Amino acid sequence: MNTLLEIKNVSKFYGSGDNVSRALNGVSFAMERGEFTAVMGASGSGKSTLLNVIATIDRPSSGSILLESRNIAEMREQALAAFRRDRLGFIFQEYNLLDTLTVAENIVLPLNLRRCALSETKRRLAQVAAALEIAEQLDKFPRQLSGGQRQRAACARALITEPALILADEPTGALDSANSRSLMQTFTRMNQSLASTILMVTHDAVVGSYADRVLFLKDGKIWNELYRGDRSRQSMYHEILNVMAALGGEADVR
Amino acid sequence: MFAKLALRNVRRQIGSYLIYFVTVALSIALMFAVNNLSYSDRIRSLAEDSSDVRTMFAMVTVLSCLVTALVLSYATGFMLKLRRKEFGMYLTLGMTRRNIQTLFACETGILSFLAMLAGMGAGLVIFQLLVALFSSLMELPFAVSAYSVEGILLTLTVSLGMFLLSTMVSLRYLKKTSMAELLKAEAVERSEKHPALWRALSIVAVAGLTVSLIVTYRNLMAAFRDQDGVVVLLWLVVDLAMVFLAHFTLSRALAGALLRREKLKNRGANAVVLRGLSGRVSMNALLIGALATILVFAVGMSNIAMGEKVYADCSVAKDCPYDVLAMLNCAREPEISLEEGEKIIEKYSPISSKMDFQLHSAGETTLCSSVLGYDLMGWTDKYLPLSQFNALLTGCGWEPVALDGQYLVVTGVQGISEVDFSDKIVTLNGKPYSWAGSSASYPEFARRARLYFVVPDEALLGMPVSDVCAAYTLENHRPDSQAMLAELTYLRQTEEGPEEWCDFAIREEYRLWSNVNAGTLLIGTLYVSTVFVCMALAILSVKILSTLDEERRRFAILYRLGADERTQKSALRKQIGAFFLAPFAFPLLMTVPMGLIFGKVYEIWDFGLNGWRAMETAVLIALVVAGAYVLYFLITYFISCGHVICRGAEGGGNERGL
Repeated sequence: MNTLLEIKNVSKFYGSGDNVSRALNGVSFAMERGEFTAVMGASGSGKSTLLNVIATIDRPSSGSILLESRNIAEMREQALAAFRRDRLGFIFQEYNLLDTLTVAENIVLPLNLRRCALSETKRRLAQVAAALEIAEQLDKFPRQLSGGQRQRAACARALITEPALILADEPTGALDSANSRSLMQTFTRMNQSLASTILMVTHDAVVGSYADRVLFLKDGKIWNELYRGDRSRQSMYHEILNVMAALGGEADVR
Repeated sequence: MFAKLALRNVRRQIGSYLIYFVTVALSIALMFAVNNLSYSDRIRSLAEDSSDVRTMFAMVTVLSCLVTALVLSYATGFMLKLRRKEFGMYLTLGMTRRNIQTLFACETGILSFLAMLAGMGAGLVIFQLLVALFSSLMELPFAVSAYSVEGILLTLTVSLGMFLLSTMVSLRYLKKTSMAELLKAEAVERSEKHPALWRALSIVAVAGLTVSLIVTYRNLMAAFRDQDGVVVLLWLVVDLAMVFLAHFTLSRALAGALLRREKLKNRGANAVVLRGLSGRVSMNALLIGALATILVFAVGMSNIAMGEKVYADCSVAKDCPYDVLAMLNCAREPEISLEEGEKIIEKYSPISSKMDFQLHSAGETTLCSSVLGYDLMGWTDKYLPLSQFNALLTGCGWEPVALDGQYLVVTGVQGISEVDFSDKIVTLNGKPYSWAGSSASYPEFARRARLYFVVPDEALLGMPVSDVCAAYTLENHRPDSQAMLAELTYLRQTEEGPEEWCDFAIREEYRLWSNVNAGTLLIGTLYVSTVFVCMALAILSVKILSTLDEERRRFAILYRLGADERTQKSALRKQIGAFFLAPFAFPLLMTVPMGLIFGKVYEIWDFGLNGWRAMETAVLIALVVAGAYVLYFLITYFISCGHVICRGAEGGGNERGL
C-alpha cells in the first residue's frame, strides 16, 4: 500500500555475443515511502548501475522498475526527463553544482526547469535553505564554499522539488570524516523531519550505518540485506562490517 | 618521436579547431587569388597604370595579413593556454622545455602546412572566380587567366611569415612560463566586478557613440558638398574607437544587467545561459570590442566600395556623355585636326551622328573673376550658345533649358556651383544678362573648360570662337578605345617639356578607367571584409568549441536535473547565438543608417538615382554578413550539440560527462 519503489527482476547487460558482461542479474527489492536505504558492495558489484537504472539515466535490459506504480523502464525519453525533474532528486559524490551559478541559482534550477512561479520558488528556497542551514551562503559561488557546505547545497537542490525519491551516489566520497558525519546527520534529518525517501550508494560502513536498511550487492545480485530495526547505529555499523567481511569486500572503516 | 606525438595531438584536436583552420585556409586562398590577380596580364592590359592596382591590392593584402597574423597569434596562444596543463605534465614526466617547444612547433607546423596546402588549392579556383568577377565588373568576356609566379611566391612568403610570427609568440610563452604556472588551472573570473561602474561606463560609451555618429553624418554631408574629407576621416576614426569602447563596456555590463531581472533568470535554464554568457562575454570583452570594430570597418568599407561602383557607373554618363567628345583650342594649331581625328575614329567605328558646337570668348574675366584663383588658372569667360547647349542636352536625354535675358553658370566643380554670381551682370552685344543660376550636375560637354556660361545665341554674335568642339555618336559604342586613344594622342611642347596630349575624350576609355578603379576597390574591399568577417567568426567559434568539455559537464548536470533534449538545445542555442551576436549586432544594425547616408550621398551626386538603391546595397551586404554569421553559428551549434547535449541511453547516450 505504502510501497514507493518496486524493482522486479532487473538485469542489465553490456556488450554482445561472447563479450556480454552482466552488471545486474535479476535484482528485485521494494522500498516504502519514508525509507532510508543504503546499497553497498565491492567495486563492480553493480551498485552504480542499479542507481543509474533507477535514476532513468540508463535503461535495464530486462525487468521492471515501478516508482509510484509507474513502470519507468518503459517510459519515453521526453516523459523520463519530466519524471526525473519532478519526482527524483540527485546528490552526487562531486556535488555537481554548476560552478557558474550562485548557490541560490543552483538550488532553484530544478524549479526553474519546471517553470515554477517566482514567488513559490522563493518560498521553497527560503524553507530548504533554513532546513539545511545554508541561508548565509545563498549568494556565494560554489567555489567559495567548503566541501560540506557544497554537499548541503546539493542536498537542498535535491530537496527543493519535494521529490518522491532522493538518489545519492557516494555522497560523502569527497568529504572528510567530520563533514561526512555532518552530512549523514543532515540525511537523517531529511529522512525523519522532512519524510524524504532516500536510496544511497556507498562504500563506507560508517555512512551505511545511518540507513534504516542496507542492501549488499555481489556480482549484480542482492547477496544480503540488513534492517536496523531497534539497533543502535554503532551496532548496525559492526553488523555491516561483519557482512562486508563475509562478502570479502572492501568496506571503508573510519 | 616528436613528429609522431605531434601528429597524434593534431588528430586529437582537429575536430574542435577545424572551423578555425578552414578559415585560415580560406584567408590564404583569398590572398593567393588577389596576389595572382594583381600580377595578372589581364589587369596589366586593362589598367592604364597597373602598378596602382598592384599597390591597392598590396595594401589590402598587408592589412588582411596583419589582421590574420594577429588573429593567428591570438588563437595559437589561446589554444596553447588551454593545453598548458598538458604541457606542464610533459615537463613533470621529464621532457625538457626545448622538447615541448619542438613538439608545439611540430604541431603548428603540421597545421600550418595543411592550411597552406588547402588554401593554395582553393586559391587556384578562387583566382579564376575573381577574374570572372573582375571581367564582369569591366563588362568584358571571361577568359581563363594564367597564374603568376610572383603572386604564388608572394603568397608563400607572406603565409610563412604569418605562421612563423604566431608560432614565435607561443614558443616565447612556453619558454618564459614556469612549470608551476603551467600546471596551475586557468583562473576563471565568474563573479561580476564593479557592475555599477561598468553600467555607467557603458551608458557613457553608447551616448558617445551616438554623438560621434551624428557628428560624422553631418560632416560627411558637408564633405560631399565641399569635397573636403579630412574632418570626416578623423571622425570615422573616432567612430571606430567609440564602437570599440561601447562594445567593451556593454560586454562587461549587459549580461550582468540581464541577470538582475529575476523573472527572466528564473525561467527554464536561463540562469545557466545568462551566467555562462555573462562570464564568457565579460572575459572576452576586449575581443568583442575589437571584433565589432573590424566588422563595422568591413561593413562600412563594403558599402563605400559598392557606392564607388555605382558612382563609377553613373559618372561615365556625366563625365563623357557622348561616345567621343572633341575640344580643340583655336589659340594654337592642333597636331590632329577635327577632320584627321574623325578619320582615326572611323577606323574603329563608323560615326552615326555628329554635333558641332563652339565655345566663344572675348578674353574678358567679368564673370569668372568671382571664382577664387581664376587668374592663376588663366581662365577667361567662355560662352556656349543656348541652342547648342540644348541640342547637346536633348541628345543625351536631358530636358532643354530656357533663358530669358539671363546667363547660366555650368561647371564640373561642385564648389564653383555654390559661388554667388547674383551681383554679376554681363553686357553682351549691348544687352545686359543677369545670373539665372549655377549647376555642377550637367553632363560635361566641354571637359577642359571647368567653367563656362550658357547664354542666348544672339548674345554671341560677332564674338570670336575660342574652342571648336564636336560630339560624336558611334555605331559601335564599345570600340577598341585603348588603340584609338593611342592614335589620337600626340606629344606637345610645354614649358616643363614635352607631354602627351589628346583633344578627344572617349567614353569607353572613361568607362574602363573608372571600372578598373572601382573594381579594384570593390575586390580589395570584399577581400579584406571576407577575411575580417570569417576571422571574427572563426575566433568566436574557437572560443565556444574549446570549452566543450566544461559545457558537457554542465549539460550533464542539467540533464540529471530533468532538462530534456529540447531544453538543453534551447539553452545551448541561446548561449552560442548571443555570444556570436555580441560583436555582430551593431555592425548589422549599422546597415540601416549606412543605407540612409548613402541614399543622401546619391542625392548629392545628383545622378537621378533613387536613394533606396543605397539601402538595397546596404541590406545586401548585411544579408551576406548575416549569412556568414548563420553558417558559422550553425556549424558551431551542431558540433557543440554532438558533444554537449545529453540524450540518455535511448538517444545514443551522452550522459557520462560527469
